[in-house]
Amino acid sequence: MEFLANIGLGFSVALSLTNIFYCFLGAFLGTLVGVIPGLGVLAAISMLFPLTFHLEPTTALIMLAGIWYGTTYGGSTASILLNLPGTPANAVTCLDGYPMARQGRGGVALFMTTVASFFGASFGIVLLTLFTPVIADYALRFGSAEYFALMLMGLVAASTISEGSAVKGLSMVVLGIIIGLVGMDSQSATVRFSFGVMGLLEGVSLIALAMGVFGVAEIIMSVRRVRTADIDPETLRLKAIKPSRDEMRRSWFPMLRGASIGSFFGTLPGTGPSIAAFLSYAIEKRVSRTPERFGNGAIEGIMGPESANNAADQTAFIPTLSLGVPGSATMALMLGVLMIHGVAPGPNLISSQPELFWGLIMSFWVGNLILLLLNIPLIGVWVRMLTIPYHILYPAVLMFICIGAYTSGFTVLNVWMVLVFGALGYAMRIFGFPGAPLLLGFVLGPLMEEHFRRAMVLSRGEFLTFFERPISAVIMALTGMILIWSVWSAEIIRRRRAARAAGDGATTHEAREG
Amino acid sequence: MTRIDYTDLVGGLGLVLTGAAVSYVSISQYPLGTLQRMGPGMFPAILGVLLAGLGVLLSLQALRRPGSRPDIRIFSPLFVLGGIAAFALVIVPFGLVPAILAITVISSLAELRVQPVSLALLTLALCLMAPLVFVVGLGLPISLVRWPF
Amino acid sequence: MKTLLTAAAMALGLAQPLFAADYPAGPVTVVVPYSPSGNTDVFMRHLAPYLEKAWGQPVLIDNRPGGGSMVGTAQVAQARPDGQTLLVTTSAYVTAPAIQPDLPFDPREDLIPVANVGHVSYILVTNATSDFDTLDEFVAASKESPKFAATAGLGTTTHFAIEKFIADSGADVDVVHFKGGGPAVVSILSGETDIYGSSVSSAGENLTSGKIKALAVLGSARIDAQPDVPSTAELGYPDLEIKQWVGMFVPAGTDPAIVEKLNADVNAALRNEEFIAKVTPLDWTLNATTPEGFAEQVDSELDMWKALAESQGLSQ
Repeated sequence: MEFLANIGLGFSVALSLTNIFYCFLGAFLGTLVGVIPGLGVLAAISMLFPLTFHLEPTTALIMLAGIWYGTTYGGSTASILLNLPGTPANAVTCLDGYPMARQGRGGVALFMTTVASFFGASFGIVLLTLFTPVIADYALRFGSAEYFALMLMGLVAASTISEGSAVKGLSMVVLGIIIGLVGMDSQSATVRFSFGVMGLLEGVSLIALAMGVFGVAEIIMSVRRVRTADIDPETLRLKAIKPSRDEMRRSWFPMLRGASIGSFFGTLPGTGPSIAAFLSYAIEKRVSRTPERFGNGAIEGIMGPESANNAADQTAFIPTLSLGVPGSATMALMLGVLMIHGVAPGPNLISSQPELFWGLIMSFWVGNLILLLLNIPLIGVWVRMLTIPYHILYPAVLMFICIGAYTSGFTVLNVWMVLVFGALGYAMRIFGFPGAPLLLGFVLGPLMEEHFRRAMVLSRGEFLTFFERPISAVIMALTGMILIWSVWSAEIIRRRRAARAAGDGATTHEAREG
Repeated sequence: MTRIDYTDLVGGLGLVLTGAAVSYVSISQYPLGTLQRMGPGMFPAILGVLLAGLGVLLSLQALRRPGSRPDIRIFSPLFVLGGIAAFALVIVPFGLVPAILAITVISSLAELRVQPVSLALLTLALCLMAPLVFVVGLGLPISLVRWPF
Repeated sequence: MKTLLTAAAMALGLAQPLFAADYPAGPVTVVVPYSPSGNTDVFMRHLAPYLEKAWGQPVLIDNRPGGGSMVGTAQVAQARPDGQTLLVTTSAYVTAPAIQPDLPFDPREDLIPVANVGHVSYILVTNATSDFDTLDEFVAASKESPKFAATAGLGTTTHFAIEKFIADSGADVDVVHFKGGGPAVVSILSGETDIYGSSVSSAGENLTSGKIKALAVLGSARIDAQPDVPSTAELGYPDLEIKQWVGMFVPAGTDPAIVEKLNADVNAALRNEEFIAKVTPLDWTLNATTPEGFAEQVDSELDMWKALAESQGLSQ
């Protein structure tokens, strides 16, 4: 009965007019910022942050949280329409979302990712409501060895998701990690691979890397090739956003699996939505009977990841609220709002501040519902972007990329980095190297090094620690299985294809990936 | 079609070179430490070797299978990247509007045929829209036009 | 380089007018070189609203952890000297350079000390389920099976403190570095490490709720925030008088008038009754310093810790 009382209490807080308004404000701004490539959550939050001092802590948190999960909703839009990941967690959505848009199914993709986002988020909220204290204790069992093993699994999974050889995927993961190490070492503060450029002390800009490797490279590939005439005007009607019965059927399990994966990774500080989305994609491709459809507009390839990253967004609140350990910079801001108002996050938060805790969680329902209602009518507007002739669209996109890079830190160095990574991305297209594993390697590389080094200190220099600790050993075994499985299945696909090629006597070199 | 897969062969060799360079720099410039207490050089040194190893693997695979000629373009990357470079060079001394002008005009050349009217309209629209969104709307501190001399 | 940067910044129209009266002209970013929920972070989050009120501008806290605080510190060292980017760090500012030889900045030249806000004591804490309840039992247990001590990063003051304790007690302990007090406390909670020299606020609610227990306070006297915890001097270690101070810095080249104004505004906030009431339970002893006085302290402590690191044989 107490449980129902808590939920009632939560809704009574979340449904106050003020809280609904700020929830809407946050969700709306989040969507907008997610759609514009280059602008991140932090930009949106720093715009609204001054407001938070004059608001009740619960209201402030509700608004900031709205921005946080709103960006993930909006981020998929740029991924699908322009092949530009709005946030790193949406990068994997490019792989199948963009081909869908090119095939004139952009409306369906946008509609279905919104549905997947809502589903994943709901799943996360339910878990958050039921199990916060239990999960927090569980997450504490993860030490450095386990984190390293988990990230390794994520990276190996990511390297196998794109079409083509696992060797190429793995090599891009490794290259991504190396690029991630540029700058000051997190243990000793030694500066590595900066070539004397002072601006590189902080490391390579994630925004510049993502926009260069995905956006600029895509533009170079598409100029003089993409014709708007390819898109059937019929597909722009609002009823064209309705997925086919077959697509509906294919979407259920990916959403469910994605939500479970996302909820799990969201609870671990420091991993979060990106790794969850990548793993979800890898798993969908593995369990599919027709893995060759992936990368060519398979609906499972957007449903799983979008459900996963939104679920992770929600469960990321578990360690923040119950342990006082924020998993990301955004969560740290939420913590900051609590502290400014004298609320101490920690194991006692739920019992000492029930209005705040339950109000915040129930506001997630409000926010996600707002996002659902906000995003579906907007689909028509977004899809119309595809009717803009490409020779007009791409200079505009380039301009947004450059301004976004420049304004993230107000340094020209970021624009030069976009150029360098654009060139790298183009070279990768030529040689058939996938971009998504590079990005994930880059994001996880520094964390991986930190945990690896710490695990080695804790094991007194013994590599076997990763196989001796039970949780870590299980994860390592799974990683090994994924690796063997992917090498094996890639070989099968290659043979099948070779046989087919021998059949009709002509092959085209496939170099398409995200 | 070529007898062996030259694309992957060159790509693989590129990985070998990159990996070797990373390992060389890590070992020669940063302390390696011990297995228990790794220095800043150890992790990248291992990664460099790994990358080179993957490169060897890729090259070996390439030797025993046929490949196709890669599609390499010259003008598209030249003008697109050139536009970005122009933006980077112009934004600080001259301000946002000239930078938008530079990137729009130069990157449009990648189409290889100039449509003066639509280009002029596009440039005008972007020069109006971008300041409105970023400077007025988001309040970002960028100057619109300036003259450094 | 610095002047060039300033010129470039002015040319950009980004540099704010250099009149202290108008300062600050925009949002102020405070870089905290540790993970969230550590001592410095908590303190700064308490202080920020008072500075906002004084300035009428938002104060954004930017956590840039790593390298025993030196990563964030180096980033502020190269920031524009316009007073819009500040550094709030701990005595790691003077301890870390003693054992990190390759820093990309000079702590004496590239940053200007503004104000030392105060100091806290270290308490040695362990997981509530650990099978030792006193410091002596811990030392004895470590000699049977070696233990791990967490630090807030290589070269931070907690690192020095624990190394000094190890040297004085002869305990068999290896140190493990984390990116600030927050993650170090988590490692105590999860049982990954056995002991950590924590401030009261880093340990936070976990101490009051009984998830972790305190073994001793480093120094000669007990502290008011934890009156039942014995001091190390009582327990037979007279030479562990190590405290952690927290101070504010700005990049070299900042207008002296801005430095003076910052110092005055920070000192005023530190005298605010409401603020004092918030941080006193967290074991803070607040200061009132001048920029000159703090600069002298930083200068002499840089030498002192260097000498100590050499005499203890501490290095990477």
